Amino acid sequence: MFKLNSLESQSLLLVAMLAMASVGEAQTCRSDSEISPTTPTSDFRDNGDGTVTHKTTGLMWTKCALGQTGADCSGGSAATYAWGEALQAAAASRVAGYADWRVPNIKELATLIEQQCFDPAVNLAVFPGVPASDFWSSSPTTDFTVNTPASWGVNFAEFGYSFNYDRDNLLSLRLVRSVP
Amino acid sequence: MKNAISTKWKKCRRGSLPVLWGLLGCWAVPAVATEICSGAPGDLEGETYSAAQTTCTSSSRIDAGPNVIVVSGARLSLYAPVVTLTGTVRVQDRALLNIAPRYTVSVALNDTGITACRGAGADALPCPVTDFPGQDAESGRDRTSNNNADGHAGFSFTKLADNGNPLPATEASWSCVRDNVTGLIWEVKTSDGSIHDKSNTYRWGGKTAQGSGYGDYFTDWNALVDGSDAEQLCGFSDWRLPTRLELQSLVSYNRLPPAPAIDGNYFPNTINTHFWTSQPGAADPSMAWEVDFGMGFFGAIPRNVPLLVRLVRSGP
Repeated sequence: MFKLNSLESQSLLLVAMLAMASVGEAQTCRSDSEISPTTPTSDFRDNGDGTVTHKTTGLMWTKCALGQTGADCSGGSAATYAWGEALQAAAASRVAGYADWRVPNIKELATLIEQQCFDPAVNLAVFPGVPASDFWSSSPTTDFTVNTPASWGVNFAEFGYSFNYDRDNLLSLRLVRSVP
Repeated sequence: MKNAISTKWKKCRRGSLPVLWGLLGCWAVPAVATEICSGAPGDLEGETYSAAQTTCTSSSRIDAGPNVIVVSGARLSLYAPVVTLTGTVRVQDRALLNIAPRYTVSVALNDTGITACRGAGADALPCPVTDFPGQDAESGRDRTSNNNADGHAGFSFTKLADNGNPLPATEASWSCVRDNVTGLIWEVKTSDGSIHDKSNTYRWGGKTAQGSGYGDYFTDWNALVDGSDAEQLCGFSDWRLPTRLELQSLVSYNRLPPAPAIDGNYFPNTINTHFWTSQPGAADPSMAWEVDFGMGFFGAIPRNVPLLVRLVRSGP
């Protein structure tokens, strides 16, 4: 039998409430000994202008999904786009004054998957406020019969797996640029 | 004053020889188009920038100021591991001072292998496609380094003999492939019934897999890892399972099934199915990450499913 006196019960309840408050979202992350982090915070620099630089790849990313605002991306709300609209939105974007934003290809997009975590599979210290919708890449699929016509994307909100999405699906967008 | 600044700027930007530029020196380096500043202490001191795009790149540091002005409509970009601003640095209305650290890139990404654009339909189209701008095929190595002599489009591979010696692309027999973009060296599968045979399958876990204390952990591939090390495959004895990022780097997303999603000219004997990575799945201790060389999908699946393995090693 397992018994708690009232003081221990209160402490446990408090601990549980604190844990819920600090996680904020329902994200779960494994320990470093179980799975090495794939996007440790030290690999990134927050440039303070809505952009984040991934030091290992040299790529610059928008910190928020397009449509979100604020230092923690809690303002506004993530916009969703059909694939063609997403490509147009990237071309028109002037985040932080840059005019060379683009939609990342599927290999670039997949460098942001935090494989230590799920729900979402993202380092929330670097990319806060990950929306529930999946994210587009700029990579179309080859035309095959299962899912035509489609393009590649990643479900960061859950596990960080790849999917083929019909091009009229409405997905979120995080932009990338190659730093000279 | 305006005149003097304008003259100095023109010299620095198009100079084919090092040109003194200010008291402590900032000179153009013709071989590197974007490296306009020396990065020496006092480099950007008492300067006014009026060009639409001025880029100053240093592998060490840039010290800007005092008395730097970026005028309306201009952009000054400073790229260095350390950038310091001292004294007055004035950025006028509609001007931009862009400071970004320059890092030594440690993860070189392969491009996707996609060279055709698409529109609303399934057909491959020449780029660009109206209303579908800036897609995959329009940037990256598949566009800038599209040379099929060393692998499809932007891929650059070198065949290696069993002793590790590089071989010409025309060589009919090779044991490993060096990826000249990522720097990784890969096992080439065989059809000879050896430990490298294309049809050998393994449940997940074993040597070089992460997280041995976390979830199911089989040891099926130990014979492949140990055997490759023992025989010094291509001269190396540090073979391991790849990460998801590493394994996905080999995917060529231009392939039409049933052709495997990889350059078959360098990676023959590749079955168009799933290959294990070294990484456990976070969501479920009974799963691990894999990459599907049928289409290029990646995700985690149960560890007790027998999948294929391609070993990798890194380093010189």
